[in-house]
Amino acid sequence: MKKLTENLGAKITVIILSFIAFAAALVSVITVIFLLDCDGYTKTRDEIRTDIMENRIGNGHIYNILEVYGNGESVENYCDDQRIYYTIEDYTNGGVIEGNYTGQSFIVQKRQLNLTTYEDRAYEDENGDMQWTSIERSPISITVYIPREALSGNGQLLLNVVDTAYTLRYAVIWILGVSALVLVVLLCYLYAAQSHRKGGVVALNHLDRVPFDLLTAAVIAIALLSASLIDAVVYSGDLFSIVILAVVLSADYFVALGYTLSFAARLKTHTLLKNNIIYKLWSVAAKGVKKLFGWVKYLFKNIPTVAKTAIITSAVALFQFIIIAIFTYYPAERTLLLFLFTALDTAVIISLSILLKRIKEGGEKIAAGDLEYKIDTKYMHGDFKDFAESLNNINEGLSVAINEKMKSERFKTELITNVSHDIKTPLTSIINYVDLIKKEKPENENIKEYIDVLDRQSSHLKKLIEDLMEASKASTGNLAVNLSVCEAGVLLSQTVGEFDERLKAAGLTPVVSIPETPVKIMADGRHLWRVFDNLMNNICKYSQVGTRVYLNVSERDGKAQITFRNISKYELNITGEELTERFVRGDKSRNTEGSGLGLSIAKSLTELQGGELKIDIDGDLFKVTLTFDTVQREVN
Amino acid sequence: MGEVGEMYNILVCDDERDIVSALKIYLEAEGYCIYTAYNGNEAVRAVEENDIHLVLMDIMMPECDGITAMVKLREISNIPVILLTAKSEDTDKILGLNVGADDYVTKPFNPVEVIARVKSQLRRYMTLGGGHKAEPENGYTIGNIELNDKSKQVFVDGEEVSLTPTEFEILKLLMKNAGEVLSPKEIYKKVWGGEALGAESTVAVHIRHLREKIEINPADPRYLKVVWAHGHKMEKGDKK
Repeated sequence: MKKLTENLGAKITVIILSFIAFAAALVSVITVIFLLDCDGYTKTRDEIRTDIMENRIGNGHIYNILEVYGNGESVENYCDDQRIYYTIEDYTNGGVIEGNYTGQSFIVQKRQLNLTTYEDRAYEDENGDMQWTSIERSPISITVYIPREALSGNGQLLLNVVDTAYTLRYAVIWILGVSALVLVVLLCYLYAAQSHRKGGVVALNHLDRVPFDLLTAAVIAIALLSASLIDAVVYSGDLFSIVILAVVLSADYFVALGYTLSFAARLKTHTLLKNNIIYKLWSVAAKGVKKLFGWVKYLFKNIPTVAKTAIITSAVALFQFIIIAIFTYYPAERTLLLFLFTALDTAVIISLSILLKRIKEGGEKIAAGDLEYKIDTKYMHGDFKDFAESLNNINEGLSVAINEKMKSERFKTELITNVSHDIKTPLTSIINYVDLIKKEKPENENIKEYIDVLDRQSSHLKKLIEDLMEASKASTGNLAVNLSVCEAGVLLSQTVGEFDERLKAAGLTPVVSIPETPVKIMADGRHLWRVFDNLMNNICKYSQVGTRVYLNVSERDGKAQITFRNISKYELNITGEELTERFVRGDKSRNTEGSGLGLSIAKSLTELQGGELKIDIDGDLFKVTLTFDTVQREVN
Repeated sequence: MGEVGEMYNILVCDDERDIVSALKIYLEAEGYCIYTAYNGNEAVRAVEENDIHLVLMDIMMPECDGITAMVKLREISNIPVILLTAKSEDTDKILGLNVGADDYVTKPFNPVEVIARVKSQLRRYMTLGGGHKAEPENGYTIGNIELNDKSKQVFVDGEEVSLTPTEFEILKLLMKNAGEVLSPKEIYKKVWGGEALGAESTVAVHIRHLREKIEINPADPRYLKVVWAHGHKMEKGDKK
């Protein structure tokens, strides 16, 4: 099958065969139509003959005679020329006016009754000028008798055609059916094989490259031309016109075949739509329009929102003004329309403000830390939608970041807690066995000294681990905080009491100042004590011997301040901020005891309770300030 | 120390053998007879099979942990149990005490403190008859602290502790109002008489001394508690 579709010779043969089939079908169709027209399937051959003769030949003679008679020329001469016989009678009384028929044999007789003729007469009008007028003669009847020998070539031909058609009147139907079938089959093959070339290539020929709409226009022009040609020759009925008809129809067949084959080829290569002048023009135009539209959109997007709003609002107002100006004549109409437009504008503005409100509320929720909140972008467009989506995206990003951070902090705390637990067990053994060795009372003085080192360092290690755990918990907020109303003064006095002996041992004198009226703050007593404890520990460790330590509680403008001031034993070449970092100590050498976590823990714990810890260093003066909001008096 | 008590049997249970050995040395030096176990199941079996008077037990152990063993122990015995734990979280302590432990010591512990707590628990359990005690007429008793107002004496675990008159008055005031938080100002007013006028820290100093005398671990008191930023209080009676 493939091969057959690619064979050029086969194609040409099929085209010729199809033309023959087409011609056969066409002739059969015409014959059938002709036969139907003259009742060829119901009447006998002679009846048809008579009909044809009467209608085609007899009528022609009668009208010629009428014309000749009307012009007052000799009818007899005309009839002698044509070798026919005639009789003209008066229609009203039946009397014979003239005629040469005297009973000769004929094959066709045609009689036409009640025919009117006119006589042109000149007359003189009232001005004496000559005028012409037509005067109706009395009606006549004409009868023509046509003998066989009077039939002309055309007449003979027609008779032969009628005879042949009548003989073949059933065969043509078969011919029509078969040729139509053959034609359909052959055309199907042609359409299927169209544009398949040797080697399975689908290719277009020159015709297929012509724009389809142009081709269509050409085909329509040819069709119109042939229609007018056919129209011009179809009634003359002579041999010449039949030849022309055949040529034209054949040409039309090839044009139609070429056109439809090209159509098939275009369908196959999907070029039917694209290869059109109109399509090409349209696509160029569409591209231009799209580009223009894109440009306008880009321009609009880059116009500042306020300007955009101004432009749209002015355009709407202008439009409304124009509408009012064009379509209204009366003040009442104008007022009504103005009212309608105002209502419309108000509705639009209100709906926009609702969207704005939605975004605003979403923004507030997000700002307040509701990371699960999503702004509903339903009914939002343009800038509103962009804005709402940006906010939603910020929210998503934030909540992802925060979750990650929380996860990692929790992991850190867990790790530190677990490691601390694991260190504590061996450390217990170390401390216990150091203690046991001590109890053995070693003789060697060196061993005693070494054991003291072990004892001191293992205690230090213990403290370090405890601080580390606390620092990690405090800094990650992994600590239960139960805020209650606390008296800062009471805590300070308790702290001083607790440290009484250690301060004395360090040679320090506390100077405590607590106001008479209790200073109440919201804090967790136990955590706040840990803050004070750490700060006092530092003071005992790092204060210059023999100096005073100033401890203060004060209240001003709804803020409670607790200050710890002391004179440092060491030179402080470090800032207050650096000191609160983990593992940072005033002495870079790290020779002293302590974990370097005390201030960091104090700061974290203070912040957990909503307070603030600030360190000021002024020469050797070391000052820590804790600031909390005071609880208002109404709490009693 | 040096006092040779009756031969009490103490079970020491920890999966860390070095710790068990160390505790054994310390407690044997005090004259106790030591049984050892290395997980919860062994501890329960040891208590079932022997006449144990006190159990020192770790919480984190393989096979059967201290809390589970504690529950099983309480089904068969009401001997004092002191938990040893590396967990220093408050919730862990509360859990331990809730399932029936009498006391706890956090690792790394001080041997002296462990011995003191063992002694305290044994004394209460053996001599005071496991918590059955009558309220003395002339004073107050809270846990193993006994205050006699008439003789002006204070006994902790049956041993007399010597207090200064001020300390005695403070203790009496707190025991009288056990369970109540008293601010330094109130304490000062009631003990010293008159306004504190900036002398509140004196109260704290005295209470600290008092704590050192009556508590085994003054930094983690069982009875005389500091309620930071509010005041001080005596725990009300014994737990349960």
